Amino acid sequence: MKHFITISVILFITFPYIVKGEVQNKEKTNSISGFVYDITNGEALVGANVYLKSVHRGGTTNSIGYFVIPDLPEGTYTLICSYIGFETKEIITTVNIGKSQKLTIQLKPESIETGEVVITGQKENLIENMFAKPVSNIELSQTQINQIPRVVEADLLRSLQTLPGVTSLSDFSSALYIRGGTPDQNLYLVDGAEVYNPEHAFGIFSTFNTNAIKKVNLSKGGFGAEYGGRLSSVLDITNLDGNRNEFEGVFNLSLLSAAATLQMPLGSLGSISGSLRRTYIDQTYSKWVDEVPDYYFYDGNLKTFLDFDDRNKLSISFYHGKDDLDFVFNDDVEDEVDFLYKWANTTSSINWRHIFNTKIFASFWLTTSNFNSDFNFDDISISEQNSITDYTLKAAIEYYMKDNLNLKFGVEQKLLHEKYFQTGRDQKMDINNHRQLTMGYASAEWSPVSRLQITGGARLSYFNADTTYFNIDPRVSFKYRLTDESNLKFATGIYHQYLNRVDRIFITSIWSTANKYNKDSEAIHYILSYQREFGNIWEFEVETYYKEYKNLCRFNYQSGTDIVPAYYDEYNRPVYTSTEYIYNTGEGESYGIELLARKNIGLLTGWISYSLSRSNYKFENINDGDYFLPRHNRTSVVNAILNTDLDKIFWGNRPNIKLQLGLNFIYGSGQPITAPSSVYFTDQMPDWKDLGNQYGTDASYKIYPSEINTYNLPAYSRLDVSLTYEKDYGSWQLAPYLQVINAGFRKNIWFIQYEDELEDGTIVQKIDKINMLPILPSIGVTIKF
Amino acid sequence: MKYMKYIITMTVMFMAFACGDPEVNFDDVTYQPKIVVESIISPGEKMDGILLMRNFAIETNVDSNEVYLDPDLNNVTASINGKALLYDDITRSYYLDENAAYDADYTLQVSAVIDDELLECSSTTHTPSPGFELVENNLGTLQYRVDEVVFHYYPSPGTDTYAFSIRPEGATLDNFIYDNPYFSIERDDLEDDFNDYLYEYNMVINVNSYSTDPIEYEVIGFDTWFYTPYTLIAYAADKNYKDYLITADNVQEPDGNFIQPTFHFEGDGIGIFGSAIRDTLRFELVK
Repeated sequence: MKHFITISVILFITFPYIVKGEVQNKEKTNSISGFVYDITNGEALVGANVYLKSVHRGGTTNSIGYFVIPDLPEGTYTLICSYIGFETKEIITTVNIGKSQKLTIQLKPESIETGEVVITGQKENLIENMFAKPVSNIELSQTQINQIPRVVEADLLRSLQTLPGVTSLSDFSSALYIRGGTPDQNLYLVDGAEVYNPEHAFGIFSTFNTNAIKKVNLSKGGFGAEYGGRLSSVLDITNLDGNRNEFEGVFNLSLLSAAATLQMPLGSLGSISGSLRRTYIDQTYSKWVDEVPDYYFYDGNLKTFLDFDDRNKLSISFYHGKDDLDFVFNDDVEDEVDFLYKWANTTSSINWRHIFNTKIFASFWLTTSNFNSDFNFDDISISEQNSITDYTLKAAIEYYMKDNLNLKFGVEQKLLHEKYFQTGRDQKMDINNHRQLTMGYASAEWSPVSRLQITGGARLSYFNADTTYFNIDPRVSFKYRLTDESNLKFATGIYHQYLNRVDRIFITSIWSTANKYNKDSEAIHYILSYQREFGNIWEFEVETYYKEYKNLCRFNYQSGTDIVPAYYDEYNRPVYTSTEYIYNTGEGESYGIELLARKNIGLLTGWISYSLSRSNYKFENINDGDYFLPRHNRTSVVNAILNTDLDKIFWGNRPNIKLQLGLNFIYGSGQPITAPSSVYFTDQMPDWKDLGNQYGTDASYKIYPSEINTYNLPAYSRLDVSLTYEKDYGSWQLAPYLQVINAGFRKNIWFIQYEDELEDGTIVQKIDKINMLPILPSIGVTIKF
Repeated sequence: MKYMKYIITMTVMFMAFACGDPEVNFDDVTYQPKIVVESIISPGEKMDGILLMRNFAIETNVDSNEVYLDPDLNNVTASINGKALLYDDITRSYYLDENAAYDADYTLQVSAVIDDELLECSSTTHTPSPGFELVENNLGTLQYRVDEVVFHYYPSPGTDTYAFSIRPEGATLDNFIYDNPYFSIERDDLEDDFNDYLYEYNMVINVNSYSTDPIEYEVIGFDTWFYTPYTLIAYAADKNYKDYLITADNVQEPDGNFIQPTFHFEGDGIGIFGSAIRDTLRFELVK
C-alpha cells in the first residue's frame, strides 16, 4: 500500500512537467480557452456551456469559470456561450495555427420571465446544456433556491427535497434521503470542505445560508471518479466569491432570524464576501412562550477570492456555525434544573487553482472540517462530548489532451479524528480514534464521435483504522446525442464509504468510522437516462436506476442487550471503547424511475416530477434476517414547483416592480410503518402487583409489534405558497414576503402512538396521531443594495 | 391572462390534494395469539407468582378479567424442569412448591389453548450466583434535593445487571412533590398520569460483578415524586430479565416505528421468564 501512495504522489507531482513538454512539442495544435464571468459582479460562472456551433464541440466551465476547446483546425467559428438565467452570447472567433485563442466572456443576467420567444438559431443551447451535465446531475442557483417557498427560512436542503428522487422523513427533518440512500450516504462539500452534520435547530434548518451560495450541484448517483467516500450522492456547494465590481449587500429579516450578506471588490486583486445569520428565538418566543426553550444559532462565512493573474487564482473560505440550547425543565420553581446542549460546525479551505498551460488546469486544496457537540445534564451527572475532525490535502488535474480526449486525475489525503465521550453515574463511553484515508483517481473523457462521450475511470481508496481496507472503484458513463433534441445517458460505478452515522432525532447525529467490527460499506449504481427538449423551453428527463448496497450499518436501538465494556474504571463503572454491537449490519437495494419536466424560461417557470421507487433492506437481528421496506421508502412522489411574476400578468411590464408567486406542492404515498399487532400486560418489576393501580393508565400495558414496516401511513401531501413583492428604489431593492406552509392545513401524520384507558373495568386502546407541521404563515423582508 | 388560468387551475388542484385529516387504519393487521409469561423466580424462595396470560388484538376492548389463562378454560399445562405447576385461583398465578437454587437452570414449558388455537412455548433461565447484598438497608429520613439518596451493594459474581424498583409507599395526590424542578404538574393532570409517577425503576448494566468492593448507586430525582416513605427493592437480574428490562418497554424508535423486543422464548411465548436475587432498602423523603 505504501508503494501505491508513493507512486501516486510522484506521478502526481511530475505529471504537469511531463505533459508540459508534450504539449510544447504539439504547439501546432490550437485551442480556444478562456473564462466566463457574470458581467454585473465579475463572479466566475461555474458550469456555463461553451459550444462551437459548426463543429458541434464544446465544454463547460470549471470551478473558476475556465474552459478549453482544444485541437481545433484553423478557421472561423461561432462560439455560443450560455448559462441559465443569463443572456446567451454568440462570439465570432478565429483560430490561427500556432496561436491559441484566449477569450474573456461576460454574460449579462436576463429576466427569465421575458417571454417564451424561441430563437431557432440557438436551438441547440438547451439540449447542449442538458448533454453537458453528467447523468443524474441537478444544478440550482441562489435565485432558484430562494424562489421555492420556505419553512420560515429559505433553506437549501429543504429546497432540494422538492427534486425527484430526493425525499425527507418528515417535516421536522432537513435530512436528505436520495434514491433510497440514507442521509449519511450523502457527501456535503462547501468550497471543497466536507460538512458532517449540516443541520441547525434540531434538524429543521440546514447550516447553509442561501444568501452566501453561488451555485449548488447535486449528483443523485453515478458520479465520477473525482468524488468518493459516500455511497449515494454528492452535494457540492460553491459560495459567492464576492462582487468584483462594487459593494453589494443583502439583508433578511424574518420572524426567526436576521441575516446579512456583504460583498465587495478588493481593488483589482479580487473580492471578498461574508455573511452572518442569527436566530433570536431566545430573545423573543422563548421569553413569551413557556414551551419554547432558550435556543439560538448563528452562522457565518467569509470568502476571499484573489485573482493573481490569468494563471493563478486563490480562494480562502471559512465557515462557522453554532447552536446553543439551554433547556429548563420547570421554570416555575426556584431550584431550576436544566441541561445545556451546544453544537458547532467549522470548516475552512484554501484552494489554489493554477493553469499550467492552456490544456492543463490544476486545483489544490487544503481543507479542515470539525463538528462537535457538548451535552451537559448536571442534575443526573450525564454529559456527552462528540466530535469529528478532518484535515484534508487534495489535488486535481484536468488535462485537455486532445480534441476528443480529456484526462482528470487527483489524489487526496484525509486525516480523521473521531471522538465520542459519554459519562454517566453508572457507565462511560470513550471512543477516540485517529484514521487515515488516502484516495487517488484517474478518469478519461473520450468522444470517439461528436455525438458520443465516454467517461471511464477508477478511484482507489485506502483506509487505515484498527484494520485496513483497500478498494478500487471503477466508474463508467456514456452520453449519446440520439437526435438534435434528445440525449441518452448511462452511468455505473462502485462506491465505498468508511463512515457510519447514528441518526438521532432532534439532536445531532454521531459519526463513527469503519473498523474491525463495522466493515466499509459498498454500493453499485446503474443509471439510464433519456433527455429531450421541447421548443428550446421545456426540459424533459426520464431516469431509471438500480442500486445495490453491502455492509450497511444501522444503529441498533437495543444494543444494550449485547454491548460489553472494554474495562472498568476506578469507580467500577463499565467503560466502552468501541462500536461493537452498536450497529446492525445489512445489505439492500433501491430501484426506481423518475420523470421530470422543467421549464426555466418564460413567465411561468418551475418543474413537475414523478418518482416511483422502492428500497429493500436486509439486516441481521431485524425481521429474522429477511428483507423489509425501510421507513424512508416512499413508493410514489409528485413534486411541482411553480414560479411566476403576477405583476407582469396583471399590470404588464411595470418597471422596477415584481410580485413573485411561488407554489410548492408535494404528494407522497404513505411511508411504511410497523403496526402493533397486539397488547399484553406484564410488569417491569415483580413487586409492582401490590403497589396498587390507583388512577389512570395501567403501567403494565405493553405493545407487541407486527412484522416490520408492512403497513403504510396515509399519503403525505402539502402545498406551500409564497408571495414576494419586489420593488427597486434606484440602487437598492425592498422585498417583503409572505409564506404559507401547508396552506391546505392537511394533518399529515408523522407517526402514531397508543394510549389505553380503563373505562368501566375495560381497557380501551386508542390511536393517537402525531402530526407534522400545521398551517404555518410567516413574514419577512429582504433588502438588497 | 392565459397564465392565470394555469395558475388558478394548478393552485386549486394542488389545494384539493393538500388538505384533509387522514385516518390511520390497521384493520387488516394480523393478530397472532401468544402465551404471555410474567415470572421472576428468586433463588432461595418458592417458585410462585408465575403469571400465564394472553395477548389481545389491537383496537379491541380488553376485559381485564380475561387476561389470565385459566387451567380449565384454556387447557393449560405448565411445568418447570418437568415438574407440573399448580394453580392458585386467588392470585390467578401458577407455582411450584419448591425453592429455586442459586446458579441453576430452570426451564418453563407451557401449552395452552387461546382463541381455539393450541400454543406452546418454553424458556430457560439461569439463576444468579449468591453474593448480591445491599450494604445499607435503611437510609433514614432524607430531605428532598438536599440529601443524596445513595446506597451500596455487593454484586453476585457473573451477574452484571441490577434493577431497582423505587416504591413510594403511601403515594397520594396530596403528598406529590408539586414543587419539583422537572415538570410543572397540576393536581387535576396528575390524576390522569398518576401511575407514570408511581411506578418507577432504574437499572445498571454491565456492572463489574467480580468487584470485591461495594458498588455505589444514587437514586435520581426523576425516580422520586412523592414526600413519603420508600421501599427500594433491588434485583440482581439474569440475562433474560436484563433483555426484558432493556427492550420490552423500548419497542418504539424515536421516529415512532416499532421494533421487536428481545424475549428468550421458544415457540409462541412472549414476556419474561427470568430470575433475580432481591434485597430491600428503606428511606423516607421529606420536604
